[in-house]
Amino acid sequence: MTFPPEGARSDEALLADSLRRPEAFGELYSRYFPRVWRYLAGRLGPDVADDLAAEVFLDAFRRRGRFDPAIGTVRPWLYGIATNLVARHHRAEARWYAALARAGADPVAANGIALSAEDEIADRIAAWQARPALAAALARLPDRDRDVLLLTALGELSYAEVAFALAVPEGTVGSRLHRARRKIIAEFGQARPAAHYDLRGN
Amino acid sequence: MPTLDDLELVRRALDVPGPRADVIAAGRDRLDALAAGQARALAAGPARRRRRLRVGAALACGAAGAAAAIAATLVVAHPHTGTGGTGEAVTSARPKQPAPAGSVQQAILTAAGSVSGDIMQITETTSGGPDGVGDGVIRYLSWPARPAFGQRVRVLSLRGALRVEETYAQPSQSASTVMRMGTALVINTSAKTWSRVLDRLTPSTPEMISLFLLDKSSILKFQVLNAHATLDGRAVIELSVPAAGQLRVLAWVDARTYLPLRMVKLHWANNPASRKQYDFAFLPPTPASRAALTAAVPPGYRHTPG
Repeated sequence: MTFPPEGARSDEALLADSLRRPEAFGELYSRYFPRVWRYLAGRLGPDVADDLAAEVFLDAFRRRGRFDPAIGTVRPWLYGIATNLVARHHRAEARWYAALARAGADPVAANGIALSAEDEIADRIAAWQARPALAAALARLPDRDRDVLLLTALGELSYAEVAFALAVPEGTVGSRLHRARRKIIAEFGQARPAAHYDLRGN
Repeated sequence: MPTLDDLELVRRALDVPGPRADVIAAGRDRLDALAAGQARALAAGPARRRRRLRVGAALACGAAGAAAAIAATLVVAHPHTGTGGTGEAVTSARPKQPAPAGSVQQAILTAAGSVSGDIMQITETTSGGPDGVGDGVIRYLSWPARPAFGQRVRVLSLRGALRVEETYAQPSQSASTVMRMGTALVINTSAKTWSRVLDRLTPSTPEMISLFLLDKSSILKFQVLNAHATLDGRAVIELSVPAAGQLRVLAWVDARTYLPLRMVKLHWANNPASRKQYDFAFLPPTPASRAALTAAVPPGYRHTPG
């Protein structure tokens, strides 16, 4: 889903409006809270995300007067705030990856499989099976490489947006992402399932 | 065949279902309180602003109990989509309190059980498919709505000139993952032809819908987004349905009967603009309504190989 929805006011317009009408910021919360929560849950686990996701928006609300729309947009700005929060909870992140690395079949993942369209099921199984090895590999990545990788993969940000979120040059984003992906592929490549299921029997 | 690149694999491996409704509401309350403090300070004017801002800062520092008491009326957008993101004619009066956990799900479960033997009518409207493939409207009649293992199922699908009647025995496992042997009668009213197929059938749309909305394991995971919404003038409860990956599934059940009225799947084809809307009706299985499930071949139609 693209944001803002077609015909709706832009995020930047809402943010500017919220300087005069603070309640306008609530719309940004509605648009992005679930996404920011999922990003945090992917890095810290759902329990920690429950506690921290609102902090991202409270922090953004307090800082909104310093947001400069000339150099970036609201969405990566929110992810940047979230990433800073993750950095302050690096032990929780390590614990979460350790838990994932130990875990076998996950009922959350299993539920996703049962409810997804059949065409997606094999992909879900592949991701589910790779999870423990992937979590171990993520835990071993340097923080700055992991930030870039997960802002790209979980936050679905572009190079330019990641650069804005982390306040680094785009070239740095490219090199960090390349390095992180190379390590991830090397680490969990062997754990990836060799065979897939074709559920339509073709 | 699945073809995941490493970034997609990372995303899917770490993905979890969205936040609970009470977590969304609690965070919103904190933000509303903070915004209300600043709004009052702005309204008070420059002379009193400094003191008011200190009040706002105090609220931000964790005076959550006092903050929660401050009334703040904000425009509420859908937590997953933003205002109007689904294109629904939904007005979202913000509930004063979250719905009691479990009570709504239990009521929906009971309602779903009451229509297991009914005919489920679905109108599926698709847009944003890959290169437009699949876009359009299909009407389904499926009976029974929630079949038991081994029960005979009949599904009539109507799309443009095509009428397809499928019959099969309900397999024992999850309908989304199991092929079944059955027959399909295909009538093309444009070409005036018909064919009959005896083959493996893929799970039909009504089966998938049944899994999403009428199955206990799914219903118990529904999240109530708004217990006091309206949809096309009817009082409804707005729900989030757990789904995998980027797929977003929202549903609305009648606030009085707890039966599903509409479900929307967003981002169903790896395309942010892709959307499927399903509108539901449940019909008692009278002889007349059951007869409507049969796709009789009109006289003069030419038989073609299946």
